[in-house]
Amino acid sequence: MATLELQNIEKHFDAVQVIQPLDLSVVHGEFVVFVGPSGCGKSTLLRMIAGLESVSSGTIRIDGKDVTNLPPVDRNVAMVFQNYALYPHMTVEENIDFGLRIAGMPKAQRREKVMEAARILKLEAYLARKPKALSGGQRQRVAIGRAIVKKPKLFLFDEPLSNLDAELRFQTRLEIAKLHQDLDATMIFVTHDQVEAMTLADRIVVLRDGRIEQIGTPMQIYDDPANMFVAGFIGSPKMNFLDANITAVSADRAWVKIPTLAPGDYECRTIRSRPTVGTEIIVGVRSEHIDESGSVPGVPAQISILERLGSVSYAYVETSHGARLSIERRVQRGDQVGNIIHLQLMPERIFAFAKTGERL
Amino acid sequence: MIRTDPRPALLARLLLGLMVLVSLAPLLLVVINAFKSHADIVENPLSLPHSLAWMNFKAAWTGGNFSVGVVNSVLLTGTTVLVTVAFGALAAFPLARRRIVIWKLVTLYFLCSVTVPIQLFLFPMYFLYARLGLIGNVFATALIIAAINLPLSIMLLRTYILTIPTELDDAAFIDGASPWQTFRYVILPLMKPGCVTVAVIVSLNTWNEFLITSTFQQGDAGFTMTLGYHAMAGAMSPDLGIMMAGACIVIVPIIAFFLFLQRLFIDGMTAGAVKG
Amino acid sequence: MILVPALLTVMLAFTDWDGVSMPVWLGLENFRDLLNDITFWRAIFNNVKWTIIFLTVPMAIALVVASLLLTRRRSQSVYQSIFLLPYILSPIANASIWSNMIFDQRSGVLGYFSRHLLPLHDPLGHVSTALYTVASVDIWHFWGYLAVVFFAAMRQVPTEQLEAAYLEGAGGWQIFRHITLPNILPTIALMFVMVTIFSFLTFDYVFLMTGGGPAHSTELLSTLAYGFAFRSFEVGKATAVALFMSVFGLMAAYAYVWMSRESLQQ
Repeated sequence: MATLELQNIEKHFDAVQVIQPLDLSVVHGEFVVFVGPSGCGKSTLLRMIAGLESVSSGTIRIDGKDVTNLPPVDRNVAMVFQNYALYPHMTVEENIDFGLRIAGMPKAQRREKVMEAARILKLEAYLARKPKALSGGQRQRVAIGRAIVKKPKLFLFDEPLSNLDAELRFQTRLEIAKLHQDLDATMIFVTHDQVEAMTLADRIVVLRDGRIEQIGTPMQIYDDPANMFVAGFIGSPKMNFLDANITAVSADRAWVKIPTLAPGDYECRTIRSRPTVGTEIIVGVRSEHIDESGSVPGVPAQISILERLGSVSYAYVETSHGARLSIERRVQRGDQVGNIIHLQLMPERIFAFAKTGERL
Repeated sequence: MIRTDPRPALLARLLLGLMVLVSLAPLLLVVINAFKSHADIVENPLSLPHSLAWMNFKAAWTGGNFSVGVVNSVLLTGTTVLVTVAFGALAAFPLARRRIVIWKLVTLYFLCSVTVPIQLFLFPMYFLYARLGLIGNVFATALIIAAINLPLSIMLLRTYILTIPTELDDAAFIDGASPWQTFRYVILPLMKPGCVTVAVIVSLNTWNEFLITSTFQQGDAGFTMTLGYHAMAGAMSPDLGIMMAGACIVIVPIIAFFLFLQRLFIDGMTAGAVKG
Repeated sequence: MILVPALLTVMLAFTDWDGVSMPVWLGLENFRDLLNDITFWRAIFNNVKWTIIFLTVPMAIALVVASLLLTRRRSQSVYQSIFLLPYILSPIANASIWSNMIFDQRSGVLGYFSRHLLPLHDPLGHVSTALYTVASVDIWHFWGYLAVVFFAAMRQVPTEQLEAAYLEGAGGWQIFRHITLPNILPTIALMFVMVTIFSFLTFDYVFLMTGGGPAHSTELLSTLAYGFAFRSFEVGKATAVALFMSVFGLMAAYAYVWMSRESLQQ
C-alpha cells in the first residue's frame, strides 16, 4: 500500500487560516490518528487528503504520485464517515456496490468483490436489507465494507465511533484494530477522543488551531509531551498544573519551588533545556504519578471530593496552601471525604513548562 | 397535553360546527339541485330532490363538452406537472448545494416573478403563440403554466434537498460519481416525497386554472373541463339544474383527488409557509 | 455541468418576462392617461379596500379556528379537509355556484328567501354591496387555506414552552397571547405579505361574478388591465396598469424580505 506525504500543506477559507503550513509522512501499513479539540482542523485535514476539500497550497503525494489536484476517485482512497453516509434508498449490497458500478466494472466481477467484503465483515446475512433496518454497529460495518471493496491505498475514518453508544464504541474499536491487522492497510483515523487515539494508533498527530502540536507514538506522547497543551490533552483525568519557579539548575535536572504545595523544593528530572534560575514556570504532574508518601514526610492535603470507580478511585484534594489536585488511588484505602492524606511527587514524572506552554 | 375547561369547549364546538356548515352548505346545495329540474329549483332551491334523476348530468356532459374537456384537462395537467417537476428538480439541486450568494439573487428574482401579474406578459405571449400557431395547443399552454409554477416548486424542492445530508454527496463523490450521477442515483430517489408534493400542488393549480387556459386554449376542441363548464354556464344559464350538474362533474374529480391525497396536499401547502 | 440544467430552467422562467420588451411604449402618455382616468383610481381604491378586507376578516377567522382545532385532537384532519374543500375547487365552479345558485334573484336561494321571507336585493347588482359580496365569496374560498397554514404553524410551537407557561399558571388566552402568537409571528407575517400580493393580483372571482361592474364598483386593477388588453386592445395601457399592480406587490415583498433577512442567511 501507500506512503502518504503532505508537504507544506495549508488551507484558508477567505481570510481565515484553517490549517497552518504543515508536513506529515505516513508509512505503509501505519495506523495514524489525528486527535485534537473541536475546530482544530483534523477533519479538514482528513478531507483534504480525501480530496473533498481543496488545498490552498502545498502538495499531497500518495505512493509518490502527486494527487493534490486529483478527485478522490483518482487518489484511490476510501472514507468512512461519522454518520456512515449510507445511501438510505439502496440495499446493503447496492451500497457497497455503488462505487464499482460508477467505475464501470461488469456485474459478475462486482458481485464477487462485494461478497468478499461482506464475508470479511460478516455482512452476508444483511445484503438485501436497507440501512434503516440495521443497527448502528451493522451500519458502520457496511460503511467499512463500502471502503474495503475498492481496495484503496488509504483508509480514512472521520470520527466513525462518535455516534455509537459506549458499549458499541468499544466493540467497534476492537473490530477496527483487527481489520487493520488483517488487511495490513494504511489508515488515518480522526477523533476527538484521546482514549481512541491512544488505543488504536501506531502514531498520534495532536492538532490544535490548525497546527501540529506533536507527532509520536502513544507512549511518546504520554511520557514526553512537547508542550502543555499536549500534556493536558492526553491522559484522563487531566494533568495537574501548578504555578512554580526555578530555584536551581544542573546538567540533567532542575529544582522547582511550588508555593501552593509546600515550602520545600521539588526535583524535576525531565528537564530538556537549561532554564534560568528564577523563571516563573508551570509544573505539570499526572494524577497517577502522585503517591502517598511513605517514609518521607509528604504534603498534607484534604480530600474534598472522592469518585469511586471500583478498581480505581479519584480523589480531588486541596492543600493548606491552596493547590487543587486530582489523585489516582489504585489500592483500596479507607478514603473518606475530609481525610487528610500526605502526598509526594515522583521526580521523573514532573514536567516543567514555560508560562507560554513550551516544554522546558 | 393541556386540559381545557368544558365551557369554552362547547363554544368551540359550536363555532367549528358553524364553519363546517358554512364551508359545506354551498356544495350540498349543488349536489341537491343537480338532480332537480329547473322549475323545481326555482320553486324551492333548498328542497331535496324527488328522485335521483340523471338527466341533468347527461345534458351537462354533452353541453359542456366534457368528453373533450377531460382529455384536455388531463393532458394539460400531466404535461405541466412533468415539466415543472423535471426542471424544478434539476434546478433545485445546484441551488441547494452551492454557495448562498446565488440563492439570494435567485430568491429575489423568484419573488419578483411571483408579484408580477400574469397580465403583464399575457398579451404579448398570446401574440407570439398565435404567430407560431400554438393557440389551442395543450402542450404549449402547459409550458406557460409550468413556468409560472416553477418558482414555488423550485423553492419547495430546494428546501427538500437541503434535508438530505451533504455527507451522501461526499460519499458519492469519493465513490467516483459525477454531479449528474450523484443527482440521478442518490439525490433524485431521495427527493421522491418532495416531488410528489410538488406534483400534487401543481396539479391542483393547473386543473383549476382559468385565466391562462381561457386565453390560450380558444376553440372548443381545446377546452379543458373548467373552460367547458364556463362556456356552458354562459349558454345554459336558464337551466340551473343542468348547470349544477355540470358543476358537480367539474368538482367531483378534484374532491376525489383531494380526499385521496389529503396528507400530501396539506404538507405541500404548509411546507413553504411555516418556518420549521 | 451543473450549471446547464439550472440555466435551462432559468431560461424557461425567463419566458415570463418575454412580454416586457414587446408591448407598445408611448412614452409616459399611457401613464398620464391612466392617472386622469377616474376608473383607474376607482380600481386602486377597490384594490386597497379588498386588501384591507382580506388582511382582517379571513386572517382573524383562520387564527381563531386554527387555535380551536388544537384542542380537537382526533377530528383535526377531518376538520382540516372540510375547511379546505372550498379552496381546492376551481374558481369557475365556485363563482358559478354562488352567482347562480345562491345569489340569483330568480332561481337562487336569495331569490327564494326574498319571495317567501323578506325581500332582499341582489347583492351583486348593487353598487354599494357588490364588492363586499364578491369579497365574501373569495373569503369563503380562501380562509380554509389560512386556517390550515396557521394550524400547522401552531402545532410547531414547542410543547415545552406551552407546558412551562401552564406550570406557571397561565390560562388559555394568556398562553395564546404570550407563547403561541409570538412563535407563529413569522408565519403570520408571511401570510400578510402573500395576501397583500395576491389581493393586488386577484382576478378570477371578480371577473367571473361581476366583470368589474356594476358601474365599476368591483373594478380592480386586474380586470381593468384585462379590459384594456382584450377589449379595447390598448396593450400599452394594460401593461401600465399591470406595472402598478406589481409595484404594490413588490413593496409588500420587499417588506417581507427585509423582515426575514435573517432567515434567508441559511
